Amino acid sequence: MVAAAMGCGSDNGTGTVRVSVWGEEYIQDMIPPVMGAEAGIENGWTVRYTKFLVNLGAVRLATSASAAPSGTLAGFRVFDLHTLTGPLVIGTFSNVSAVRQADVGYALAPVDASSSAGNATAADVTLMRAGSYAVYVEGTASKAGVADVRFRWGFTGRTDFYDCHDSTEQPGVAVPTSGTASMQLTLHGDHLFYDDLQSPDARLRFDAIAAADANGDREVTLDELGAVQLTTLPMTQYSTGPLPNVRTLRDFVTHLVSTVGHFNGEGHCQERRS
Amino acid sequence: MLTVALALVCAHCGDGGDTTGRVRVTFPVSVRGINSESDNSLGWHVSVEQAFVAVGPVRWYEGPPIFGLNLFERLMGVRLAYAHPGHYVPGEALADITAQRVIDLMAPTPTPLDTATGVSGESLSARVELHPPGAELGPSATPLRGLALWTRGTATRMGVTVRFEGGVAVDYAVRGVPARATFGPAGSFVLSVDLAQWFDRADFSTLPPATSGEAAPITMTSEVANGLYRGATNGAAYLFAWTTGAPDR
Repeated sequence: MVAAAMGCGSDNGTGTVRVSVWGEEYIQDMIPPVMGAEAGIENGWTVRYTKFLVNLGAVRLATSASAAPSGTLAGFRVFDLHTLTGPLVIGTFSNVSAVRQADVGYALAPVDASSSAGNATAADVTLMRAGSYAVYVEGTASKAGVADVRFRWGFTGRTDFYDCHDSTEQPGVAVPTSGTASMQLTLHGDHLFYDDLQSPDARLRFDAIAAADANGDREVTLDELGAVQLTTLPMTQYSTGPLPNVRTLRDFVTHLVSTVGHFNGEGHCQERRS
Repeated sequence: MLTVALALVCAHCGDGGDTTGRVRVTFPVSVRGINSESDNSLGWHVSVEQAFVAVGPVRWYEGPPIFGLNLFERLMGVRLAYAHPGHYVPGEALADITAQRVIDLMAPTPTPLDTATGVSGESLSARVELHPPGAELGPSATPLRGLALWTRGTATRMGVTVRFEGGVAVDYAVRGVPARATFGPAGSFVLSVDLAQWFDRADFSTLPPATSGEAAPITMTSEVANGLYRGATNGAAYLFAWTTGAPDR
């Protein structure tokens, strides 16, 4: 673990920032079906991930976007978020100025030769490297009376998450004098199953994905998702908003992958895809 | 009638303003259609001959839009709303139009929608509602056949021409549309409805080709209707342009 801390103190002294990564219960345990007012997947589906691999790096902390970083974790490491039982500390920035460090960012990028294992196994790193994946997920969807549906999807696009705000819309983290602030890079596994790319009323669905299993082998591949034009789905579902190049279910899920990055739980970041 | 949120913004506004410095404002809003001819993403050249839509209510907010920053705004650090589902926060409402009007999108000049009422401030985004026409619209709604929008035109691809006519049952609020303005003593909005966006996903191969000159109906279950619904509920189809000062007479 290499944590570069470049804080230079302030009138308030310095503090520590602990950087962690977590996928919360949705990735660790399951995404349940809708139950009354509780959020979940429509029509009785449950999704359980068995792998949720991310190649995460370019972690940055600074007082502003134009300021020199107060701390960085520049290198990329592969984590399996499914195997975590709580936030995994991946770095610590010491001697950080005890002020609001308003600029927080990180990235999910395709694995290359410089990537190393975080908590992922060597086999997982090899799998990620073979596909140049930034994100790779495996899992099973189940529903009463229906045979389980498996999925194994790898995604190669890079997404930079920047200008992260916490759930109260405060930018970055406030570093306490002689204390420790948390900088949790939180990944939301439910986003892959949203049925709208812009609506605040988006719902989680799996019906259309299950129906994409063209060869009936109970595994839905990305190629099978790519064969499903969105205009063949119910018109009130899978709206793409203003995005011009999202035409198939594969395009749709691929776009959603770039929305999984969050900050300190329910906090948000701006996203830049490349 | 303003929203509860708007009432909160300006709970004590008189004509002279409130303790936050906001003053009441009114401004005219008009609507027009653009890009009646376009090439869509499925290779069809679409020529729209008739397009009616029921627009309203419309409401403007302080919250950043879901998409649509220009380069200058990016350089200036203007933020977008979080551009993924479930995360658009409109913020405070500044002004609104509660009326619904039928707009002929092929009219040569913008059609007045109504006069918006609200309070001064910086608008960043808007909510544009599309619903089936209300009874109060009377005969003006006849071209809509009971739907929120109705169109007619031709689509051509690789020598095949399809004449089409029909609408879709849109009942939807398009949120997070970019709508930047400084509401003050005088100004006006023009809302452009981009017909190219409406038809961008329409696959006309699922309609029968023109034979006797009759238009093929866009049936509710057709892929054309599906694509048209997706286009009409796409925020990118709605473009606001604010002009400061009194509107041209």
